[in-house]
Amino acid sequence: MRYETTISIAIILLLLCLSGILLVKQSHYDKTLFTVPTQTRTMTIPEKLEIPQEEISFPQETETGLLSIPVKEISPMGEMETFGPQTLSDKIDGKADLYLEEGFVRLYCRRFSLAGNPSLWFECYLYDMGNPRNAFVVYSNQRRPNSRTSSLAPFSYESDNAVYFIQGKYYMEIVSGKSDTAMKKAIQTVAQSILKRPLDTVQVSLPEITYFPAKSLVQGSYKLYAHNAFGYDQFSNVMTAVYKLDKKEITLFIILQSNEEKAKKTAEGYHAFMVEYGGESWDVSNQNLPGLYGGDLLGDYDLVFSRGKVVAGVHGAKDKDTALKMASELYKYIGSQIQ
Amino acid sequence: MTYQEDEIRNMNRREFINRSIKASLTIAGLASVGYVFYRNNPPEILTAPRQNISLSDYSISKAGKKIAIARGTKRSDTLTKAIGALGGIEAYIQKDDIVLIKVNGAFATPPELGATSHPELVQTLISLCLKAGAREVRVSDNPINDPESCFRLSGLEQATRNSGGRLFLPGKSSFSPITLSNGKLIKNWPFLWTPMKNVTKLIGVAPLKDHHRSGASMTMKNWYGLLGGRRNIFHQDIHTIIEELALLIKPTFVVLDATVTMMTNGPTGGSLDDLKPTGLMIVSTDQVAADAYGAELLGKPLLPFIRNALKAGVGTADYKSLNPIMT
Repeated sequence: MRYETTISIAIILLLLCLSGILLVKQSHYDKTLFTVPTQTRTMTIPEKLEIPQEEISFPQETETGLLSIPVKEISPMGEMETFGPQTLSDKIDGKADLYLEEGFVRLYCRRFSLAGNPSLWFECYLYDMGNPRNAFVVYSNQRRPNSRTSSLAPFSYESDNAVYFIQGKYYMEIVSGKSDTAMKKAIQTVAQSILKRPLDTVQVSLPEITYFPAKSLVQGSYKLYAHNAFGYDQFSNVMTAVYKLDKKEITLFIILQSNEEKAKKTAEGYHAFMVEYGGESWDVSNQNLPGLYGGDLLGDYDLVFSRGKVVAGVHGAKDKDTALKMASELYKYIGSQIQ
Repeated sequence: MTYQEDEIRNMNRREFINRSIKASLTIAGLASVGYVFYRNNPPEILTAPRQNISLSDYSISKAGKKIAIARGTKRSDTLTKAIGALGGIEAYIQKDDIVLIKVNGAFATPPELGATSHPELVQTLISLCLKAGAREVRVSDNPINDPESCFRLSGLEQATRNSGGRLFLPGKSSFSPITLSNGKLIKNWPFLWTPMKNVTKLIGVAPLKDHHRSGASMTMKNWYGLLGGRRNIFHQDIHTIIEELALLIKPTFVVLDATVTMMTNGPTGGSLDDLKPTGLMIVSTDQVAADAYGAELLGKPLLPFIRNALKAGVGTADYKSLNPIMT
């Protein structure tokens, strides 16, 4: 009898074991392989999409705290995601190139909601751009025209639903879909919390700014172009600023070169470029500004000159008189700065 | 004598009947459990084939090339008006059709940011298709990064549920290779196939957006979301890939939502300041015409991919030649 009992128990255990295996296997099947009958109206959601290992980037241990926000009114909606140069477009699609061209290193993202109200949520995007100037390039080139300068940081602005700022090599966006008061307050709180930490102690150096006169300058209008500014491949590290004169806007630019000779050649090169690519030379020799060159690009007027190591000028002006007036003021101001 | 032989020999009639009844009840119980779990309509297995697939022509030749533009801010109204101006949904969707609505669900952002197809628009379109007799209306896109979050946070999941549609999220087995004959880029490239299986009508629904690389993201660029793999390599030749997708895919009609337009910082946007209220809904059987109109709204009339598509014979960039119906 003992023999038969042992066999029976073994068979029962085997059956239980098989049931367990079936249960585990069935509860982990690939749901994307199946449709569900229409009448159930159930969505086919995979438990977790499997992405090839080489496409997944995990945060380093030192990075995991970057988007930890110790604010009690805010709850994280999930873990921080990270994206490298190979996967950035998975997150921001066609806008990836804007960052990749400027030395992008890594993007950290995390969503948060207001505590107790998951429908009010926002997302933090923290871009490591490698160095502060790269961060300023992507920050300044995306600045929204109707935005307001913010007091959060030296380079920061806000719109109705978001704030944008740089700190060291990081460019950060905190974006929500709503523009209500509670959300705005939460976003400001999170921004302040992040800025309290020394994410990067090296602050951006923008020596070009000292050569722009303050009078008539549009607040927060500085833009830095790392390469190919105005379509000219020799124009690198070009800082522009917008001025408002008699309700007309006009753009001035500054480039710092390593020596006077190089600055002179750069100014001459830009004039030659304008003439070569469809523009006409504009004779400005009567302006009493040494080394001033002009170009008429189908009704847009550009002026360029060099003074010391500084290349400067006016870009895309709609009328000649304003362009000449601003070029003259810029020339004098640069002179006073390089004394 | 064994234990069993001894027991059987000593068993009386009553005990035999009792044991037989218990055994029968056990077998009947197990069979009942099996019956409860039995399904005579098991789910269809949707594994994408590994060999090259080819797409049908989903356009309706007798409908011809048309474009309608409706003015208004309520998407459900403007969509209904624009489709009505093109002959009504019944001219395009018949009884028992299986319809795929290819939305732009590329980002896990709220609908207010205008980066994805608007849920109200998708919900209305699903309802119209079902009302016209469609057997099934599917909604899909391949956002690559976490599709579940993209559909949930953009409101498209809820919109699909609410209106009786079926959402297909891409999985690892959803793609089959596809090749565009004489194509330069689309050669044995993974294509989102499972939601397209047995589909009889295809509708593209895209928001009108600025795009950092291509200049604009509209109805032709929307097909990009049907590609799988490391498709970002196509960003280097974005105008050609859009042209090839437009050649590959012949939709029943397309919807270009310009109720609000993302004028800057596309395709992600991020600020409400990137959006401009333009109050227009464009529905067309000619995707090139729809995009040409959208490009004008963005102030970028001469986009290379529109010129390419025109040259390739996909449609007309002179949307005015189709006598747009304004409603």
